[in-house]
Amino acid sequence: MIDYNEDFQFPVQDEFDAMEVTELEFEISPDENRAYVNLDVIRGTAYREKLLKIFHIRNDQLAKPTRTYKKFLFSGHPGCGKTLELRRLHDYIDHEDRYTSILIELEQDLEIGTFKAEDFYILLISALAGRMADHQFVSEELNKIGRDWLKDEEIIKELKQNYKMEVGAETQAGAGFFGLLKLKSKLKTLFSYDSITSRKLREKVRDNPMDLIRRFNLVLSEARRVVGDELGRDLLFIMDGSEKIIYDVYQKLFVRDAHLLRALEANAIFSIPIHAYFDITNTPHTHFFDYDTLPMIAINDRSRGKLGEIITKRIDGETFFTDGVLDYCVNMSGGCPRQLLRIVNRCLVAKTSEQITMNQAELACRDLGQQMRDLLRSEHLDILRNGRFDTADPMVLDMLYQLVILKYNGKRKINPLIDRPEFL
Amino acid sequence: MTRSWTEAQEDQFRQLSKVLNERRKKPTVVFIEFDNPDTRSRVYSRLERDLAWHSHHIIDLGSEMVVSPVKSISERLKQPLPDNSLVHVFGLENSMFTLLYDKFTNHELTGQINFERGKYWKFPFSILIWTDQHTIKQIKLHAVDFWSWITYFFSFTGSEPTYLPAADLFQNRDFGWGANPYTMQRVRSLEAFAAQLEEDHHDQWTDRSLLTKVNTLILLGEAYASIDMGDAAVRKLEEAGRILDRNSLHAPITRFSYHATYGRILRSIGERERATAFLEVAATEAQELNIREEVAKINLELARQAMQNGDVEKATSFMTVVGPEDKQKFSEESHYLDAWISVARGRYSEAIEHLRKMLDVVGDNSVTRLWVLNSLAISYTALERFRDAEDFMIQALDVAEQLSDGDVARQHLTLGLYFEERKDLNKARTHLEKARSGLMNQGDSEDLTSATEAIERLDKELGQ
Repeated sequence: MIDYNEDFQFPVQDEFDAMEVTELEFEISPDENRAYVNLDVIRGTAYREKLLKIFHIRNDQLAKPTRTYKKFLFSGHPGCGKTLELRRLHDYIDHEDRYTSILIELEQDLEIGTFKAEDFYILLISALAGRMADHQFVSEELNKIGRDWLKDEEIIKELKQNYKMEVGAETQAGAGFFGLLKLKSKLKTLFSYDSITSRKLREKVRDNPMDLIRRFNLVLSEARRVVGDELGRDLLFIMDGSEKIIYDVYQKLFVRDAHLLRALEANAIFSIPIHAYFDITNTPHTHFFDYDTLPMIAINDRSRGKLGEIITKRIDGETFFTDGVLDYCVNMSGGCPRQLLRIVNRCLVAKTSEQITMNQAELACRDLGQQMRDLLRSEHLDILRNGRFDTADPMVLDMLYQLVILKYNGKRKINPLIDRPEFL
Repeated sequence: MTRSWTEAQEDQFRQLSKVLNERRKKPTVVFIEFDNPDTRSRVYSRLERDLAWHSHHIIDLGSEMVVSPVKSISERLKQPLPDNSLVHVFGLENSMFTLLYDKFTNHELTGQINFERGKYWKFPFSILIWTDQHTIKQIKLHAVDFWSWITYFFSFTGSEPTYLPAADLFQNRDFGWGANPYTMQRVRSLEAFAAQLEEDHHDQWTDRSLLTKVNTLILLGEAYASIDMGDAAVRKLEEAGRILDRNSLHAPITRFSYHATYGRILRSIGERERATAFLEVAATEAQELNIREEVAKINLELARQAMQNGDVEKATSFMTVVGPEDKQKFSEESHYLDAWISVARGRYSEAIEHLRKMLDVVGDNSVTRLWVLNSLAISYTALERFRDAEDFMIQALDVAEQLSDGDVARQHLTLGLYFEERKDLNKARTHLEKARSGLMNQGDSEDLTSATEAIERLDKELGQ
């Protein structure tokens, strides 16, 4: 998204500016002090503490390497801030006293639409090569993997012909490693269509994935020696965007081929869709994964003010709201920042008076609730009416994903936009 | 037909104008829902009149099978637009369905929209996507992540839900499908028949009348699915299934028909796994019943699905069931799938055989023909038969010229890179220049970078 922060004087007072800064794609980064709101105080840090504990970080230090390699699945509703949270975690964890953290942002590194399960491993390996490139990391095994992948004549030809990349010079020392680095720079282009390179590499991974994992484990153990000495005390992969891959691919990676992830000797954090974890619970691998959800913020006296700040730092509260209206909008947001922005923006667009009145806010919420309800079938409504949404029933999971049901710390509730007698 | 504006529509128009009129700093993406082309024309005309200081540009994708809306929009923009531009995108609904044999099936468009979500906000102008209720609903359901970022959605629908008539929905398409045989009229007459059946039999159902009921429900399911009412279609098929399960009717053909229809409907609403399960049952039943043509059709559908999942093994196994005679009957689809499998397995000579046969059956100036010609060029290049490859690339350029400027520019790029590799530098430069000039009008594009970089390389080489 393009950063337009500089174009506005926060909190804005002009009505049209107010609409623009409450649009959902208007991103405010943590660096934008004038308008950014840190929600840690009200969201609670239980999930973060749990995660750090699992990865043995105590008093800002890696206390000791984990006994087994941990795979942490991190989920949350669309729009609850997973990406931001994973970036923050990476920024904190990637420190010489803690971990060498390798952040992989799938949306930036590959076309998610054409992402295949095999790409996951290709990405892990090339990301490690990329991260270790500046640290005189010598790994014969990584060289071999690179050479095996890139020795095929058709691949060499395609890379040379279409991308002017010279790979596969067998005699050159470290050729495989440098080949991987070159490959990493073109992954997005090469894997976004049916290129010879993408097809052949996927075939190679598919042919014997277990063997590849075993070889990559050797590389990881070599890399761990380097990071232990110089960079951080252990390796950690953080993968953001894995919740957006096609569901079939997710199932292959995390459910059907979970044994491969188990075999991977590295700690890792993966984001997954909020309704997806339950697929894993039906497999023998349930106990192997650690799991937590970035919770919605519960609405209470403490959180109401902080959530209100998301709005009042962007637009001037006194200019736009009559008494009690902002609190009403916050209550109806269910603790979801994106829903709060949606409600306020809808009020700003619909209002016909100077300030947003309670009546206009109620109408806006009713309208948004109606849109949500229009997507539900009678079976969904029965579940909501009977309060039977604390299950892993597929219809319940659908509703979690669609934000009809919101998940708080340990509790699920119906989204306030739809929780009205006339809708249920 | 003229209709008066409702109060709600007037309010929606006021809000839409407000969002666009004073927009100064950042562009946005707006979805506008309409229930018939007449409404769309009226809202658009008024918007154009009331927001006269904006420069309005219409991109009508109605005659194109859109895979990536972002790509299609970029390709259709001929030149950089002024700052006050509003780009109106029409016709996306026509790409929600694709025709396989005589059935409409759901296209992969919603998934693609979801994956591309970040790219919509990179355009330097606001985009207004005008489409029908069905398409909006599919996007809300199947592109959840994308929809969760959409701030503006305005609805101009009447009090009663209406659907685009088939003639409007599919007009101007170059696939030669013919009119959709199902209409609301067909649904109404089937519903009336079903109601009459209920009245005649009350609770005295015989096996025969139950079978009639099941068959009517299956027909209703098909009819609802073909006018985009997937939910209603599923309900009808669920009811048919319940009756079949509870009454142990001996009706193998009806059971087959139920599984095949339900599978196709599920596929059309994107429930791929369940669809595959139903279609596999239907294929077995068709085999047992010795309905050869149906066996072939269903296996082709299953192979296409496996292809979309990138599963070569499965696609191959489904194709082996389809006999030579049936392949001839469904020759375009068969050659397409066989060609895809051959390329995926690196068997270029086989691929060439299938692709050449496809050339005989695909239309003269179609996207499919362009795909076939380029695939032939790739296969011949892989076999180092460069003269043949070159010949097909030139043919592809001819076809591209009948399609769109974007296709022409990319074809020049292919030729330019090809001649560069073949060290025919002057020819390479001519094509690359044409590619660059064409691509510059398409906006942000990796292809443009490739063309520019290639020209720089050539200039260096030629300079030396």
